[in-house]
Amino acid sequence: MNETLSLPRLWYLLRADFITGHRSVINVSATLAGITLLTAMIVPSGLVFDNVFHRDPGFHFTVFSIALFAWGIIATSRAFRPLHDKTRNEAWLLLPASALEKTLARLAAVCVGIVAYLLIFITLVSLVVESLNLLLFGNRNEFFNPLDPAVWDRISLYIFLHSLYFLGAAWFRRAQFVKTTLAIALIIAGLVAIGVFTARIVFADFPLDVSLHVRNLSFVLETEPESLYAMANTALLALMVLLPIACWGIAWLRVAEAQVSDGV
Amino acid sequence: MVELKGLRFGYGREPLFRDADLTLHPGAIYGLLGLNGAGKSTLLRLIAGLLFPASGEVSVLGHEPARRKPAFLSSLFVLPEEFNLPGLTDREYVAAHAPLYPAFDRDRMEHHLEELEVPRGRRLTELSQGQKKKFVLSFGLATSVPLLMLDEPTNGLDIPSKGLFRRLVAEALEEDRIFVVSTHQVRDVEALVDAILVLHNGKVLFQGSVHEVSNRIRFALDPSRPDERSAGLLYAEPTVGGFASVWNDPNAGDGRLDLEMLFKAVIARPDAFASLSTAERRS
Repeated sequence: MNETLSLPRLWYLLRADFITGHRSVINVSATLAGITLLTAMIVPSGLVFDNVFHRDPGFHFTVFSIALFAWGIIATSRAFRPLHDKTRNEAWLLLPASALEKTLARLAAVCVGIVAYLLIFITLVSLVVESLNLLLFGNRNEFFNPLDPAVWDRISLYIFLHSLYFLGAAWFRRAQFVKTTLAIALIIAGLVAIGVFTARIVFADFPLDVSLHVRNLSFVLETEPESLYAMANTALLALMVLLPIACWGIAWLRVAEAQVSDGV
Repeated sequence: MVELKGLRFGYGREPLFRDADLTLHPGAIYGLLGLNGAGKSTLLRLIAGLLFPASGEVSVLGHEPARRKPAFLSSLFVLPEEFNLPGLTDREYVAAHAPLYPAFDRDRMEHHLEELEVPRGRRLTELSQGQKKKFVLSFGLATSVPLLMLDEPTNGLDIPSKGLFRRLVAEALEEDRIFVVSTHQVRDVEALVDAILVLHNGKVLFQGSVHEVSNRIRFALDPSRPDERSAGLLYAEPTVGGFASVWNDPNAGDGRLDLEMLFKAVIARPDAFASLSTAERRS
């Protein structure tokens, strides 16, 4: 059997992680369903104009976004706690699997696993909640549509952001969420400073304006002149694809390094 | 086989092992003895690849432990002295972890849990420390791995369970398996071990078979202190009811073994045990 990556072993790890974490998933799901149900019933469902009820298309989309980012990022930040916790890491270190398999199992759980689970779960919750809304109040919000391009836009942003926290989870031994957030803030501040100085000094004589905002949890790219848009957009897409891959790769190397240097 | 050659290791600048050598052969249960801080748990961790030697060679079942290959990890099981278990039931724990040990024997696990009377269906975190230890011990024995290392396994076990522990471990030993039991509770493992390892002052001071020791060493209890000039006297100390003593007696042959006295005698007179120690003979 391959000593670096074996699919049966990876499957066993995923299964073990699922068995170990299934109670947390149930607890989070129950809380999420409860909050969704209460909010959907307390908050007016949609708006009424000219005696016509207009469904709120964004309610379950908002629930999905909040759940994805809150739960996903927190779960990602805790992905390697068993490795860094000196009182528990013997079990992690002696688990018969390679560093790559252990990293991939955690990655699959906090990336693909959470996204896939929330897509299905929020769809089902929206069906139940809105059926109840219709039954009790006579109107309902739009059901959650997992195929909506806006949903996949959120997912792509989550994967991008999660990869940074995944690296932070592997890198930092304690307070991974806080340290990663601070590190991201510092790196962004540094990049902005470099960008501003570069723009002021190098491109001072050129009428360029490229800005990137995060608006409503989505990246918004604006350029002046507009002909720069295609190039800037390609660079942004490349960043969105390459950075997560780099973060996952470095996280794997960090896990492998931590396994052989930290000991117990 | 487990082989350590010229092992050097220390925490910080203080060396714990200095050119330590050790060879463990399959088909035996080794009792690992040493004073507090002698490095018993550290030695187990070095063998398991949880710590890495500063220099020297460590070969375990043909693997280099520090590389932590899955094939190596699925060949050993360590029962640490202190451990944390997840909030899973016994069945969930087995379902999650057993597949990673290719030779895991579920029937044996069930049998051990039944014998040791481990409560079933409850979360492992709700069990007492002794019950947790019984559970992990049952799991370790059921993994059927070639190398099983138990660190203070009888700590926290009730009196009937200690006897059961000895029986279950003895039953689980096969020709191709190596068991290492590190303990201060020498009475708990006296009737269990086949060979003795004594760690002292950074070395494996003594390594010998119980059979050889018990045939050549006599343990006595006398009402008065034995004459220190008596031929063959290795060690004596006052005890309840008189003086316990250890004698070099090639005709002992009674098969009786007092591990506690043997340990004290080895620490006090390592030179006197040189002929019995395979570690000494090798060097």
